[in-house]
Amino acid sequence: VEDVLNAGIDVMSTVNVQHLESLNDQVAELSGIRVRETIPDRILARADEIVLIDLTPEALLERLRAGKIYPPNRIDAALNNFFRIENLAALREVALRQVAEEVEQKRLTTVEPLGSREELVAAEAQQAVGERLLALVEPYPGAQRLVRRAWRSAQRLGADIDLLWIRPPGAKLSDDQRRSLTALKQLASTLGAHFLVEESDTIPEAIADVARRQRTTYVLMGRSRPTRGLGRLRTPLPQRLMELLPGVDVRIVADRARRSNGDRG
Amino acid sequence: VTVVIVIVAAVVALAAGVAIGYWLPPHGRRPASDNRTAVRRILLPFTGQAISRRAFEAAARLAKAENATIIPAFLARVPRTLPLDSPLPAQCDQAMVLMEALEQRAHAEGVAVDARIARGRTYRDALRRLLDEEQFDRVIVSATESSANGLSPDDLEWLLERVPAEVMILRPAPDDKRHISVNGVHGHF
Repeated sequence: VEDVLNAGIDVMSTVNVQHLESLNDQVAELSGIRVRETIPDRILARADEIVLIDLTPEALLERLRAGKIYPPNRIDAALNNFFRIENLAALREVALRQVAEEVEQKRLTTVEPLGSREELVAAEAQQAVGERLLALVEPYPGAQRLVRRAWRSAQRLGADIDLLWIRPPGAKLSDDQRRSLTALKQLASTLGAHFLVEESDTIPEAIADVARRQRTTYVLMGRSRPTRGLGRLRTPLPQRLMELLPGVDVRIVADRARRSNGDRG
Repeated sequence: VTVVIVIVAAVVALAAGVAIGYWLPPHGRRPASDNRTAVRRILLPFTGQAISRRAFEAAARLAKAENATIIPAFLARVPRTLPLDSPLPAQCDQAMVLMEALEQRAHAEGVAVDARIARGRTYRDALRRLLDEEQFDRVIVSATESSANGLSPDDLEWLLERVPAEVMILRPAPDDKRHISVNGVHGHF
């Protein structure tokens, strides 16, 4: 598609929703079948217009049985695998949602472009790379909330998500920490996030290295622990990250306990 | 003169003690709470898009009385055609919001929460895997949940035989229709 577009030729094509890369995990979960042939979402995002060809699962099955989709020798296998009515209903829902999101995205971004050509090119290049979130976690129960917030943000941005724990070298974990770490890894795996562990004493630099490596565009972190002594003289972690990672957003997720107290006050 | 020296020395020693205590890193101190007995853990397994409010309230009451932590565990089913460690974004979509709702409610009650997600081929399998990995002092389930969407009577029987913890199965009651759902999340999430 890209080659044809680059040659100055318009492309009109059809695509099945299960082939979209970002929906791969979701489609696998809903249908029980992992689709191997996927296309990057940016291809769909480049489309000037998306038209949904909607069909009820029953009508689609009728077409299949009539031999309008596969040759007769493949019909039974298709009916017993991918073309089950619950799969088709779930995929139909995914397709409707996807198109609705695309339409909304187009509506929100249809504004007069501002800035120089270089700025526009840079902005477009960044968008093409895609958003990627990095959530900084530690093995304690409160970290799960941070992961949930990061997951929600990632969903809204259509972004991938990494969880990072900077482990102090030689640190021994308590039983509670071990349990929390296992739970965090399990949560990351279920969400489709990547759980990364880096051993380092220099936390900001280690985070910045990972962020650069992962092409992070967004860092989420919880409230820092109160510092004492000479630690007070150090630049706080969020500011340090902003210095080390220009162009990367840093977001601090509110502490629930403090927020509740504030509400009451 | 000696008395003055003693007083000055005492004041200096006191100031030094306060200063050292102030400058010590937080982890250098041992909070009093470290001496208390291990925190109890109450498992609250749930499935689908809502959790029985009665089950949650029972767990919260016990947790408050025993200084326990509630472990709400979302049981997720993985289709047999997929590896067991497959991501489950569609189920997580509901589970994450529901966990937020539970945590908000628990926090309002002053109860600690430490949520889990457990995957398995069936709800029972997910629960079994979680119980194999971690120990719990109590398990609270509601018998009112529809077996189509949650734990069946067979699962509950299995739970009673299998779990080396106190199992509380709440009997059906008129207010079983009260649930904590994704609509229970307050504020921005």
